[in-house]
Amino acid sequence: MELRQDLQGLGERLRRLRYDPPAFRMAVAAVLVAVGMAGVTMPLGGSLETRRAALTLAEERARIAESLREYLDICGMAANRIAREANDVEWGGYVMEQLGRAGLRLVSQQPPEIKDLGEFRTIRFTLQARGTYEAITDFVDLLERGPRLIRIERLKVEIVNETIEVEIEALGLAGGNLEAIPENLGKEDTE
Amino acid sequence: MASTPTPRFPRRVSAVIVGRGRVTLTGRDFPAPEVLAAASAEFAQGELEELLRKAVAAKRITGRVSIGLEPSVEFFSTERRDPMADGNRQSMLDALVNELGSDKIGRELATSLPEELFSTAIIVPAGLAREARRGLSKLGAANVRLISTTHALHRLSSQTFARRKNAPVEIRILAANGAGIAFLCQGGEPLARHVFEYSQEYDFAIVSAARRLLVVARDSIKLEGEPLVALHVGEETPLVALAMQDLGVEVVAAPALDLGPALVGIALAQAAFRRGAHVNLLQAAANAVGTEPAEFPLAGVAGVGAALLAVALWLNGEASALDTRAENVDAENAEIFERFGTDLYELRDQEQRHAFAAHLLGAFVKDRARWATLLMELPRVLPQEVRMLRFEGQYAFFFTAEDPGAPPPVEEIGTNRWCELVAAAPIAAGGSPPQAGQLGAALQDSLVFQNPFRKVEGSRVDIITQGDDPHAKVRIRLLTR
Repeated sequence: MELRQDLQGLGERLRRLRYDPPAFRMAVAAVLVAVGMAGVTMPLGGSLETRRAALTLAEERARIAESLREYLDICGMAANRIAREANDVEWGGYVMEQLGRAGLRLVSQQPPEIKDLGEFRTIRFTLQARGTYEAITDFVDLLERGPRLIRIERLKVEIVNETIEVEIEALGLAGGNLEAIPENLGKEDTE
Repeated sequence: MASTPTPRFPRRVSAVIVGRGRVTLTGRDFPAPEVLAAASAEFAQGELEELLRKAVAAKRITGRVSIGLEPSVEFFSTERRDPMADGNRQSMLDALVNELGSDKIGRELATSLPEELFSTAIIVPAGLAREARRGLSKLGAANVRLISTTHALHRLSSQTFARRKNAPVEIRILAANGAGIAFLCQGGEPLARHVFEYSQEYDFAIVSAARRLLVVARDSIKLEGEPLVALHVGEETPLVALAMQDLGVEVVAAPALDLGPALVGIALAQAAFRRGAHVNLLQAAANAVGTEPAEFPLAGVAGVGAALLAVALWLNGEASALDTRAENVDAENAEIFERFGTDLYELRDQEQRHAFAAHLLGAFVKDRARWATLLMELPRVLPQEVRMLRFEGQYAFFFTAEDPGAPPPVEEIGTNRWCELVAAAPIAAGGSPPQAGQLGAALQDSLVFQNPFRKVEGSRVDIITQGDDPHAKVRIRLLTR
């Protein structure tokens, strides 16, 4: 009942408003502003803000993708040479295999020292061998260019009593979690 | 009683009397009032306007026109205010308008009564007034007036029978042809009006109308002074005496006025375009018409609507452009997203992981010495007579998990990245030992040694004379920078 009276009162006020041209024009202007705000500016402005946010997100994704592409390119150059395993026995066997291929004689070898480096592991090994200068050069080359990623940290080649001895401290790299990095890392860019 | 001239239409002024369901055209050119009736009992919307337009188009109405509403359609009264009530003049008028129903316009009129105690208002149907004015709009606004029929008739009555100065309160009654109108006036201004009809009891109807207004004067308005009742019956008739006896006030006979469309038309035509006592009333009536509903500002609304539409289209276009840009940006990196997904947190995690791996591999693979190459180069740069005794070097790996991209610490490079060559050079009989600087220059000139060891830090030459083979022992140390 009260609602009905309120509606009637509202209707009467609106009817009277038409007889007051300035107020009527103001009311029409207010309605237009309200329609403009509620019907156009706010919803479309909100939609625009949402899309701007989506674009900002896409641009951030693109920046990350660009970085990833660069990182993948770098990783791709060495990824195939990163050993999956960091087992000291297995690594010892690998070094011995290269030593034999080069034709060097092992003098002494210390057990590999394995350390974690993030998701990677480093394998530090030291050995002494004896052989010709060419065999030593071959051995070092096999280590540096071989199927495993190894860098020589320290090298000593010395002529001792008409023989040549070499002492090497090298560092190998293995990845405990490298499965996440695809085998074709960076290949798209390098091809 | 002095004879008064018969009321006549002024020149070039006609009158239009508007009722609920008929409109009556009157004027000097009309031998008799011409009635244009509505299709039904009341005018439908736009019907009155159309009838008048056609009449104007057919030259039935020309010149200046006075519009009035039939007395029965017009509301006119004076009401006593309640001085204690919470309200004002406008609210009282509004109350009357509301009481009479929707689509009414009203105007309060100034009278000799104190306005803080009394409110005199005339209220007419807005729709009829509006349509009548529109229907005659081709005649020009200056040639059309809408005035109060009540006041026009009262003015005509006053012209035919002047008020008595010693009788401030008057009741005037016109009746003929089964209809009558009675005015209650003070100081010559109408305060109230009673419209009535009768069939046979003419005397009774007139006396009743007079009594009714007397009651209003005494009880409602509480007018002071002895009222005078003027009956427009022409001559002293038994009715005058009867009324005087019945009402108990002075009753006089006034010139007869044959109340009907012709008389109303004359009253309207005479009053509409004259200045004088009724100018305020005319202005009030005109103003009342002026307060017709405001025109809807269609052009403005259309303009604003077009502007809003343009803004909406522009914003929509902007939104589409942003969508396209976002899609293009995503499309350019589709292969990455296929591999790692599009979730930003996952991508950032992958970026961090791969940044670590890339920096680690960069430091591990690129920033190093190629010792095999150096070993191959060494025999080439050594002079034939010079024998290598020892070649030693170190190229340490620098990498910090906490700061993967950090460059190697400068202060540690000198002690952790170097190489040293110790060689034996024969000393010829009587000759001088080779200069260590020459051997150092040979190493420095080698492109292989230049990268990574480009700087000769120092050299030393020891002459070994013991044994069968005197020679010079040359020692050269190279650094990366």
